[in-house]
Amino acid sequence: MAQDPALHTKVRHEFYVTVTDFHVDIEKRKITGLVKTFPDDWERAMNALLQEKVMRYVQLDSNQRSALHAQYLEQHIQLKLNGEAMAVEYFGTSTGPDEVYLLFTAEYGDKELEELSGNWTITHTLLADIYPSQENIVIFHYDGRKQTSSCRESNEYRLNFDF
Amino acid sequence: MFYFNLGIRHITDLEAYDHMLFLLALTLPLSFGQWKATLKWITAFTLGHSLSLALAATEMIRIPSHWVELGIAITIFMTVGYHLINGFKVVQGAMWLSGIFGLIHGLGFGSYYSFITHSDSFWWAWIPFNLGIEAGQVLLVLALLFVYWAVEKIWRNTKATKWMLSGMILTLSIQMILDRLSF
Repeated sequence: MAQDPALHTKVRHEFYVTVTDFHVDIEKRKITGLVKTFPDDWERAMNALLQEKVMRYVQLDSNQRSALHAQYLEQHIQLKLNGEAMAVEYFGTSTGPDEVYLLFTAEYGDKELEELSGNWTITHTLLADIYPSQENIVIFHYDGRKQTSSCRESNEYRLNFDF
Repeated sequence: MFYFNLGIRHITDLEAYDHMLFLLALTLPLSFGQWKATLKWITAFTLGHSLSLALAATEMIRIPSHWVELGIAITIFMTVGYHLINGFKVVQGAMWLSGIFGLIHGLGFGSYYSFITHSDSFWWAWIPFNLGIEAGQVLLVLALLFVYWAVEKIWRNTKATKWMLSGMILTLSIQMILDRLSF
């Protein structure tokens, strides 16, 4: 995945929001996810992680950034199916002029399609440690259907989808 | 339903208080008895807002956000000025004013809206999002009209209340204009 040396945004935004798509990929037998966030918000979250090391995010090389992205993403996105947790694994980052895309996957093993129906619980606290008014919009795609909701302070950054 | 709720929350968000201030300014001459005018003014605003939101989100119109923010502050100032000049009378021109000012306010949401929607959800989310904005405005305006009604019942001097509110809104809007001029 391409990574720009520095992240900046031209978009001035008063709202703190991310958008995350979860796709249940039947062929690959895993969940693929894509988070869209504002570059300045993301950079701030990364700098907060680096506070103790007295470093800035822009000083990191590509590998160091990836490690930091993985650490943060895997801490802040949790996925459960019918109460059973799935490990979220960071996959890569792609940057646009006004947004950062973070990719991740979660393997669901040998479950069949019908076993994937039920209650999906998503906990998504990305950037909530930085911005109290952070809202993380989640779009969940499953078997040709999709549901949209958001994780925010009022629901303790947790939501449920039933398929 | 999600985008409808999102529209309501955006209008009732206390952190985006400039929009509430505009609604307060807009409704100064109104009361429950003038519900038709109230609905017309709010709907005119929503129509203008919806149109410019779509134009800005699709990048058919590109205006730097600091100019839009400045424009929003000016609309608040001008709305109060307009009502003061008309002696807080419900005049037909206010509906047009509301629609035109809605165009300016909608520009402020463009980049946000294009960020939260994908190309496949852009238009189907647009209608519920704007309906949510309309519903949120109706709720806010109903609350404001209730406050005006209560003040009239208790104090029996609506005119003085409206003058006081106008002074407060003018002061805040001038402050906002000055802040936003310093970009």
